[in-house]
Amino acid sequence: MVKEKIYRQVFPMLFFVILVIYCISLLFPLIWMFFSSVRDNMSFVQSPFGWPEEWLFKNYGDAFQYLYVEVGSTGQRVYMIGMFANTIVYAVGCSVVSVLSHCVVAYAVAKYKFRLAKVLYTTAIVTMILPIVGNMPSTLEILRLLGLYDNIWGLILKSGGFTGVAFLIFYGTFKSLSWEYAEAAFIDGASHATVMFRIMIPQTRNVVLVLFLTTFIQHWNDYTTPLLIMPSYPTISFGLYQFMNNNFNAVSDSPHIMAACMIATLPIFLLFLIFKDKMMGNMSIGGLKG
Amino acid sequence: MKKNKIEEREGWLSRLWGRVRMRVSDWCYDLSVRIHQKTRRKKEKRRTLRHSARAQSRFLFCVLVYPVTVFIIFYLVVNVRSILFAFQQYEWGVGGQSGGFVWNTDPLGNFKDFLSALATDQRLIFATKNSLILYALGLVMMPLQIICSFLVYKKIPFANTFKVFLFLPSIISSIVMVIVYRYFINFGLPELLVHFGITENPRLFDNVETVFPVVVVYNLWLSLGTNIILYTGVMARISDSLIESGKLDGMSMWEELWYITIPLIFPTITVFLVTGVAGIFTNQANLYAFFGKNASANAYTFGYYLFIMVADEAPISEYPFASAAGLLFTAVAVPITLLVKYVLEKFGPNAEY
Repeated sequence: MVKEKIYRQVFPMLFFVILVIYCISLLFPLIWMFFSSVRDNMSFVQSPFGWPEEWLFKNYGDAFQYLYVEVGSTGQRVYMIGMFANTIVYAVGCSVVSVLSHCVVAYAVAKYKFRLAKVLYTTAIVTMILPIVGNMPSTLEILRLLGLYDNIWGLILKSGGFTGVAFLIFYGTFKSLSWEYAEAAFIDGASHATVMFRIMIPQTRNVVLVLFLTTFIQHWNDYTTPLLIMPSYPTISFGLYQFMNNNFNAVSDSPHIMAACMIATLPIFLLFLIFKDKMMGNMSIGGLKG
Repeated sequence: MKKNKIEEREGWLSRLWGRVRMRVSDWCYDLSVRIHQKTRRKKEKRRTLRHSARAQSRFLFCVLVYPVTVFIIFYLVVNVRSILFAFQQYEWGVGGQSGGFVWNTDPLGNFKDFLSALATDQRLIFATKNSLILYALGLVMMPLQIICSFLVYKKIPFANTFKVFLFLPSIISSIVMVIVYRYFINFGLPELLVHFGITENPRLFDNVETVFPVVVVYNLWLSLGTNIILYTGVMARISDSLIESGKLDGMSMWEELWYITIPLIFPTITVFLVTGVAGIFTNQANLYAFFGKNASANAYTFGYYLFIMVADEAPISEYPFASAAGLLFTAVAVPITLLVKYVLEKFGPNAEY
């Protein structure tokens, strides 16, 4: 009886407490980051968890004005506003190209019967299962050969493939869609492209939106790819890495770096708040609900 | 008389004019009919062409040409080049001003060098141990993730609030979290320890004994949330009628987890376990974000070791060695991955919903 009580009541309570502690541990750094970002460096070092004596919102302006990254052999300075511009071009460009190319290939494979369809589907599955390790040196060499190294547009072009989870999600979604609307459109004289862009893809707009947002966030937060492939175009995450590891900036103290972290996080956080229901409601590894 | 003659001449002219006009209008009408027929035929031809195999082939070509080309260049060509790299070496002054890649005099030289480093290089000895520890800890965390996901899925109080918080690690940049965590360990923790009577700063990131555990704690802390969201997403797809029938049979919450939920989410668990094998060789555990290229040897993982060989304008003379290391890791990872997949599919619960 006692064992059953522990089983039914104590364990759920225990895991509930674990979840509460875990969620607080996730929220705490964000709150701490905000409070630290509006303090002066001296008071932060003396008392890291102290309340701001004076709310220094000018730290945000200073971060924009003074935090920079030196790029290239000439040591050209890129400030935060430039990093934001690079991030937007990189994240939007890669997300649009990546989602569109995965979407159209999945549509073709799911809805048309042609010889290559099975090959493409098998390729997508096999490349997901088979782990290939350590091919970055050859990737860099190929990019250099093609003139795409250290080129933001080159990286955007590179993002248009068709392997990965996004392909399987789109494939599953298109497979579940009826072909009757398309047939009716063909009878009315619609072309294949019209059917794809005006009839089939609009039916998957939820999946397209969720995949676009997740890809966008992933690219916004990515610092390793810009670091490896386009070092002359620092993104905001790459910049934060540089602020932390190379303290050559005039104001690269803790509160200013915390302010830069807040600036980098806020756009994504707002995006998440706007689309949180769609993003969380549709997220699963076994497929996305259309 | 003259007047009659004039009238006759005018009548003849007007008749002639009438005939010419009629002929021209007939000819114009014929021409318009012919043009109409021709354009109509063209339109019909175009319409039938749309549904023909040729139009479909054209469409498929246009749609597939770019993604397939990207795949061929950045997957096939890259991996073939990677294999070739493994048998080459960089020679200064060959193939250009600075140097170029030439075939290694000992074809297996890079592999031998790496295997020898694996046994003697302290960084790789620690990397082997640490990579396996990270993988094992990931497996240990899995049941905790599943149970927490199950509780969120079962709509415990504040389930939706939990979900929002648990999503945070997925949206906030890892570099931001690393910065905050580093500041917390360097500045925040010593102040907290003062309240417990410990006045000396433990300097956990500078101590070779503690640097890897601190990084592990960070990685485990963030991994919990990401996977909970994915698990709850899959659990939400389980049919309500199945759970209702279980409840009617007097099934407890834990029995529901064990007999219904886990078998039904097993494909997702399989995905994590199968893809996790590659993680042994690719997971750099955010070491680059924490330390750049200067991590202590005690904290090395295989992923970090491979990453710093190409990161931050690393010399290209290292590329053949890095490719050989990658090829060896792949040769180990592929059979293990396939074996794990086979075992899980063969002996794991087989349920569909």
